[in-house]
Amino acid sequence: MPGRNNSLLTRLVLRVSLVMIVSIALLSVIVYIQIDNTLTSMRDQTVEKQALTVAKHLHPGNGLNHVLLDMPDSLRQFYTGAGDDYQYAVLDDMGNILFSSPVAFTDSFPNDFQHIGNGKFTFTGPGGQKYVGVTLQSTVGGKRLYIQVAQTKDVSDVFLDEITSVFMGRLLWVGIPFYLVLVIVIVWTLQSGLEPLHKAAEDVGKLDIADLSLRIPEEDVPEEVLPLVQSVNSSFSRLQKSIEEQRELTENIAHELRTPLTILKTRIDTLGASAETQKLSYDVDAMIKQVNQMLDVTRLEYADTLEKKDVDLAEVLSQCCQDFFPLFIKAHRELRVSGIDKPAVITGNKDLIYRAICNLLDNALEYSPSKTPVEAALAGHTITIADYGKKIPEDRRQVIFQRFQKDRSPSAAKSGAGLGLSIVSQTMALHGGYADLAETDENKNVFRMVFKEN
Amino acid sequence: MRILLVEDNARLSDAITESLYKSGFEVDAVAEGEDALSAAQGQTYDAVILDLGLPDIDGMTVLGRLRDRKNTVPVLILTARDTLSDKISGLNGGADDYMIKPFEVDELIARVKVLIRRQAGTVGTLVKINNLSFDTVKRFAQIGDDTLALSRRELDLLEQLIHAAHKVVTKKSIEQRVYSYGETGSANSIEVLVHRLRKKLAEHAADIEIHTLKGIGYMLTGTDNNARKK
Repeated sequence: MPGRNNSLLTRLVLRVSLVMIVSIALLSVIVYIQIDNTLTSMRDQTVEKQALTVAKHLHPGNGLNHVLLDMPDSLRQFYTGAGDDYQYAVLDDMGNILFSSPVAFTDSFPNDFQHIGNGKFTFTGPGGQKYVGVTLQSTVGGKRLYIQVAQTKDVSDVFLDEITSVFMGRLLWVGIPFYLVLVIVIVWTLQSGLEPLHKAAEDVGKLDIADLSLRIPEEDVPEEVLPLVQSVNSSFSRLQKSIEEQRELTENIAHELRTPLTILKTRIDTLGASAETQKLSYDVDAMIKQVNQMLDVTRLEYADTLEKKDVDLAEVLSQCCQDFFPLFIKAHRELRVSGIDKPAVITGNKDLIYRAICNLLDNALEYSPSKTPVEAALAGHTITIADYGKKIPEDRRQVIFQRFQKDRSPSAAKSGAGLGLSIVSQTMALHGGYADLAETDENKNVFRMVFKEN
Repeated sequence: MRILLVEDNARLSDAITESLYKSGFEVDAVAEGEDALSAAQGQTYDAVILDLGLPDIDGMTVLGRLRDRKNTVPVLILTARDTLSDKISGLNGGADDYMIKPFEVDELIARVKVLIRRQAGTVGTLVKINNLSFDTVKRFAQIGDDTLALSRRELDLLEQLIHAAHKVVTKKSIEQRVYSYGETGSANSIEVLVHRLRKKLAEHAADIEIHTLKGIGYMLTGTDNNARKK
């Protein structure tokens, strides 16, 4: 499981979510400002309309400079009955209040008419309420009048708050599911967008030393992922090449060594029988055995790439015993084989199994005294090679299957680098089985190759 | 007897030639496959010893071309290709025997002799192995000048072992040979047969031995001189 910070999907989702949150916040602020502006201008218009309404009810009086305010009751009530929220005043150009709602408020109305501007003003009432108002200029009966109307800011704020909360509420009820759906869609999109990457990763996982010819398919790979896939493929090609070269090198070295050894052996054989040539022959055989084991080890190391087929253990054991028989005759030793009448088929590599059995037979021949037989047997899917050599002590049973362990008996070690049993053990591991030294009360060493049944 | 040796390693070729020469063979040694093919066309050989890893064409190809030309000369493959599969494909490819390098010179010579004898046997002549001779036409065996008194089955067995000398002959194939269709011997009849043949060979001081690979079969070899001295 990759760490949270290492997941591309998590990172993308986090970034996108962050962008969304910021955009929601920005949008809300903009909407709020817009609503506020709209409401402010609506309130300004309301105040202006009120002033016009008041102006409509101003009439010229009987005398010069006399003006009457003839407000209908409903309007008057509006200014007097609804608390302190609405105030008005009508002033002459000297700043004297002609008509007004209670003076406590209208005192605070501006009367500096030289700087009337757009007529808008604000002030704070005696109760601490904030007011907004407007001054309107009008001429009634030849007399210049200033009509001022104000209302508490709170009135419109209630309205504003109402609208804002309703709007924001709706925004929440509609917005949250909307954004949730959006998040889900984004995550899904990202996920399916990243799918080729997952697939490429999966394909990389399928690459195996066992089959060096495997490559990640490059078709249908998005161009962003393609360079990665291509470089993985090319490094695998290089790996394949170098492993093959390595394998060829080791195999070549072993093969090349065998040629001079063959010449040497042939020349010694032509020298004619003498004690000296026998010793030489013995030495050259030991060298040949070591080179052969080296080859076995090399083959085993790359055995994963070797093909596996149906192998009849009876046939391989029989073949191996037949091929080894001349060595037994030469040593005047007896080889007994049993259990090969019935086939025992497993899936495996015939050559490796053959070499493993050869190594066991060779060991048995080498480490057991003359005049004793070597017994090869097949029972079920288990091959046993038994010899009557010095019994291997309990504490060495495991160790002898490791590489370079060869002290079955210090003086008896004629040849070999101590690879024989490790070759057997490795071969068995490759076949899903195991090699061991069976426990027996009899005075013999019984080596087993236990194969897994198909 | 003339042998064609196809081996590209000059020193090995020399060593083998020398041993074969000492054993009374005439040897033509070539290093390349094409040379081998033209030599085999111009001259009749009693046997061919063929290396597989040749510089020009592969030994298996040489063998294939020889057989394509209906050349039935016995071929012994002598190679460093040592896996069981290599051996099987070599024998299936028309080789008469297969030996892996490094090899015992004595065994090589013995096996070449067997191949030549077998080839001669098919055209019906006297097959000799040490002091034993076997007439495949008149069907009798002699040790020196003494004719062995052998039953039909003993003769069949001896002939089969001689033809496959230095190689194991399985009990199953002996049974198939000595018992005609429908006949079956008792459980140990082959053992009894071999026992009787051994006894008769020993009575006439034959220089050959029949070895038992218990559970599989038998192998006939010339008597080991070192062993005889003991």
